Amino acid sequence: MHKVNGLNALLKTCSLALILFGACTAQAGVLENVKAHGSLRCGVASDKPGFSIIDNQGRWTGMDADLCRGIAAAVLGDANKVEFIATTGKNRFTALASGEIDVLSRSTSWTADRVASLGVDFTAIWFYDGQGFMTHAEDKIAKLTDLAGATFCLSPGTTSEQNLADYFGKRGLTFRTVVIEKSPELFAAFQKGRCNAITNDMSGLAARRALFNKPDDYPLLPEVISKEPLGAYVAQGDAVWRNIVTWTAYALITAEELGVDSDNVDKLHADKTASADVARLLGTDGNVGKAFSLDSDWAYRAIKQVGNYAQIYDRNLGPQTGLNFPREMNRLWKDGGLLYAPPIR
Amino acid sequence: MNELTHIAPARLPPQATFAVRTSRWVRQSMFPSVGHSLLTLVVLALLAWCIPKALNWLVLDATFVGSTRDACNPHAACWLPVIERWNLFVYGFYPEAQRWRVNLAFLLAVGAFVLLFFKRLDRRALLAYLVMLPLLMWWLLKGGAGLPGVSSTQFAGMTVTVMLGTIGMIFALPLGILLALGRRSKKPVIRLLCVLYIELVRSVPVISLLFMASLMIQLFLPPGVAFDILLRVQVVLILFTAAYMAETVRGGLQSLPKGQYEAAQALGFGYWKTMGHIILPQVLRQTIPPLLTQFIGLFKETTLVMVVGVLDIVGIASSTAASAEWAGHDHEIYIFLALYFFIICFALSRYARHLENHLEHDRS
Amino acid sequence: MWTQRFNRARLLGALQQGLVLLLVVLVFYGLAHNASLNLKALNIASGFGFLTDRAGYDISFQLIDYAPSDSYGRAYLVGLLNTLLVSVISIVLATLIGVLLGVGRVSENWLVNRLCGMSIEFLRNVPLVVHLIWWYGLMLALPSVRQAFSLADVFFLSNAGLQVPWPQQGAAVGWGLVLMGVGALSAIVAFKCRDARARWRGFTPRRWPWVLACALLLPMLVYAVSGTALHWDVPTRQGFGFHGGATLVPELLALWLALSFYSASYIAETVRAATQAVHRGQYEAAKALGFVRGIAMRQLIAPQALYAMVPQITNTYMNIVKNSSLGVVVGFMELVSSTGGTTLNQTGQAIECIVLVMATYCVICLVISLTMNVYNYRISKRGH
Repeated sequence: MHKVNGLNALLKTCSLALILFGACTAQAGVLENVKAHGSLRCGVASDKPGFSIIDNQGRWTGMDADLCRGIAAAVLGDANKVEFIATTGKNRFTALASGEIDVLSRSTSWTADRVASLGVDFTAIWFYDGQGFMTHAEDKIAKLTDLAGATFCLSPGTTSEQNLADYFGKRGLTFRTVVIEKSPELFAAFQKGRCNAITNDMSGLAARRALFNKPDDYPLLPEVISKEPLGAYVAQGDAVWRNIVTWTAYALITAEELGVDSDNVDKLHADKTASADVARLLGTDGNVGKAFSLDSDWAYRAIKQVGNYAQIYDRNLGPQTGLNFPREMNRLWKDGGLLYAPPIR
Repeated sequence: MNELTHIAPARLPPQATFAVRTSRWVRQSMFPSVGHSLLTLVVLALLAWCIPKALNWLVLDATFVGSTRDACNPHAACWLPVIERWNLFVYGFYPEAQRWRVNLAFLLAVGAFVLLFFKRLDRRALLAYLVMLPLLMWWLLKGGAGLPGVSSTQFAGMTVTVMLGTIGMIFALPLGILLALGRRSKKPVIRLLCVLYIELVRSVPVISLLFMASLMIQLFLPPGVAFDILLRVQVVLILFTAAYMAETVRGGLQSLPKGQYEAAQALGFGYWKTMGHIILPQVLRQTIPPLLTQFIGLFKETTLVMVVGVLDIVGIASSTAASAEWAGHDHEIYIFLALYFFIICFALSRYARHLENHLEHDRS
Repeated sequence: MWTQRFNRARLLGALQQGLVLLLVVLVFYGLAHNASLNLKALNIASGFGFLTDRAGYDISFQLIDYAPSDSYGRAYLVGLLNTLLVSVISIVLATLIGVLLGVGRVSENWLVNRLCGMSIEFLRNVPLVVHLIWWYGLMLALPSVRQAFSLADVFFLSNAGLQVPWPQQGAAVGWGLVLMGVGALSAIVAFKCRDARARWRGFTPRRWPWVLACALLLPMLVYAVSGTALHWDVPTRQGFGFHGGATLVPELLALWLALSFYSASYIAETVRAATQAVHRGQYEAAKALGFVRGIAMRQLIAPQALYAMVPQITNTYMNIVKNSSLGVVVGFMELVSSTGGTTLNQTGQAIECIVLVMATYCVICLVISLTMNVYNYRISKRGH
């Protein structure tokens, strides 16, 4: 008889499980989820110096990590309310599309293909980059076509693999590849001479090169074979959330343009005579924040807690970091760069 | 009998001196023949050549004090990345004030192994401990009900490794037992399902299962439902270990004499009563050593989770090797990893062998 | 009364099974339903049609011709062959090292005994990932192509891999392999006929040297008679690397060595346990009969130990095949990193790719376990 009882119990548990599942499926916008959860889940890389990496104290540092902090400050009021989740080149989009992370900030290029077929949306360009090449000085490579028949180190799941195949294929040149996921092994393979060249986003190459014992032995080629606009992705289908992420990035860039930084932001915030642009950015005039379903101080908090774009850049890629990556394309448009944030009004 | 023991010592030859005994031992065990003597000499020469070198590099010339990589001796090991990041390796991102909870969880996990040692311990007490352990560990690590909550994204390093291993093992055990029983069931549908499950899982690599956890499981959940990666990986490890465990338990079930089943039947016990009171307690006692060996295997397999981006101890090591602070010291970091796993797994395997010997001893 | 109870029990049993089956079917149906919803929402294609699409990625080591312009299907085949290759060579090397370590472990030489014991413990208690990363580091530490170690300017070892000469004519090599097979087979058949007589005389001669000789001699003979001398393509330094010959890339070497040494520790343990399990009386009997220890090992202990070892060794071999999937860590393009990696990445068809990979491993493991079962059956028939 107790067999039947066992079955009954089993059925009961199953129905309970089904009900629980049903409760979970009640969908809400990402913003509501983030607020209910009390923290922002941010997908990052775990081994990209200057962009997202762990320091000795176990803190995530880098451009990508700081963008997430800015978003958390804008949405939740506290830049520290970020849960960083390490993703790989392979699982990053799945993690985003399935809602495991709220925002993917992992130096990911904006391409039509990704937006069209992966169920994700791009937000704002946070870093202008391009695919570059690093070689060994002893090989005396002057231009990319000198590398015909050479072996290239690259990481999987990136656009660089296809770009390289396109570039060499079009010119009828051959090449070999060594594809390694983990960046320490990848760069070690290049440095020890397993590959004649390594190809990656320029920023990644330069950041690593700065850490080599003799950087001059590993010259970067002047050629850049692709455009890589890097920035954060969000899952498709939530315009409110997409706006928040996009405009937080733009607010940080605009702050640099208007000369607002974490030191003077309090003064400007209280200053009734500040320029109209500054007032709109800091929410003392107009109600952009309300339109984003946030409050009017959203940008003020982000700037106050993580600083403006220039401060973030200096902190993560500036001279004192040892990486010393020149800003070049990532200067403001009025300084001759490409950074051009749409007006906040 | 008494007489014999009195006489025996008197007939023994006088005790050889220590030196004589030693030289005899050396001759017998190292130079028994020409071939062996040559072999011994070659091995000794090799050891004499490499041990001082290794010792110098690893310890004598190595750097233990400092805070940046400029302090490192370029011609020897530099253990600073491990020393400076010790807390990161052990506790991951766990909040500093709450680390006692991780320590306590570690201790509880170790306690489970220690308890196996006491043969006279009440079976129910051990069972209760094992049932409570994963729940307690989860509560301690995750918080809630009196403890401040800690997000599972803060888990990293050894915390993850130990958690995945211990919780995985304990949850896999009942599942494995059920699968083993199902495989020996007389009901064809149940038997077939169990056999299919066990054989399928056992014939695919763990990595493919982990990729499944990382890329596929979300696609099978209702839209909008998401578990974090750590939980998915844990579930996959449990399901994976259960299949192997089922085979271990089945081995134990088969080795039990048929008389045990028949006796239980004669007493009028039903199926579950027979299993629960008579068969399983004996089987589990016998299978403790192989189960421990399986735990060692699982503990080593957990390192594969770094392939799907979970920051276990290997993930932290890899990130450290990539960091601006410690670039170029990957050898030391990986040697540290090897030592860490060696110490734990070796100790456990010794322990398993010890328990096995005890069992043998009891049986004979 | 009895039939009534019997029927009731049967009915209950059937009901129970039916319910379990229903539950399983329902769960699977629910999963499939969710998957189809999700795939539609994410705009991901389904089905195996992608296998004919252009792959567009390079594979650094291949046994059959492959270029980025080939299809995903071909890339799968290349990955599968790479998995099989690394598994086979690892099984061979692991068995060699394992038997050596295992025999060393039971050696009467104390020093060798302890050293082998320590090596076994160290090798098996460190995770394979760490082995692999370590071996790859070692491979990279080899001199670069310019300073490559060379053996008679024919073999080259550098951190770009091991360059070996390779027979030039594809067709001739194929025929050579066929002839080798024919030679070996005929030798085996010849022995089969002789065996009955040999058993009469009370001993079985050693067979494998003859089989090997036949396998090698027949192709040589045919080559010599037909005059089609085999041309070896010898590697020469050129450009960025080597031209000609065949290259064993360091990723393959690292995976091979790591797998072999790691698995060897398991084989060694099996060998030790099996030798020690052979009853002590056997050694004493051998000693009494005046056998030298080495011969006793070969003639008496080994055959018995072999029988005891088969199940364990089968397990280890299957683990080698499954563990070869760790190639993904060092970027060796085997099944998991080609189809389960780059193909999955580029097409986004996670379900199909992972199912394909898993199904392939299932088949490989099935074949191994069948083969070993046949072998087990044969030695159980031959031996005792």
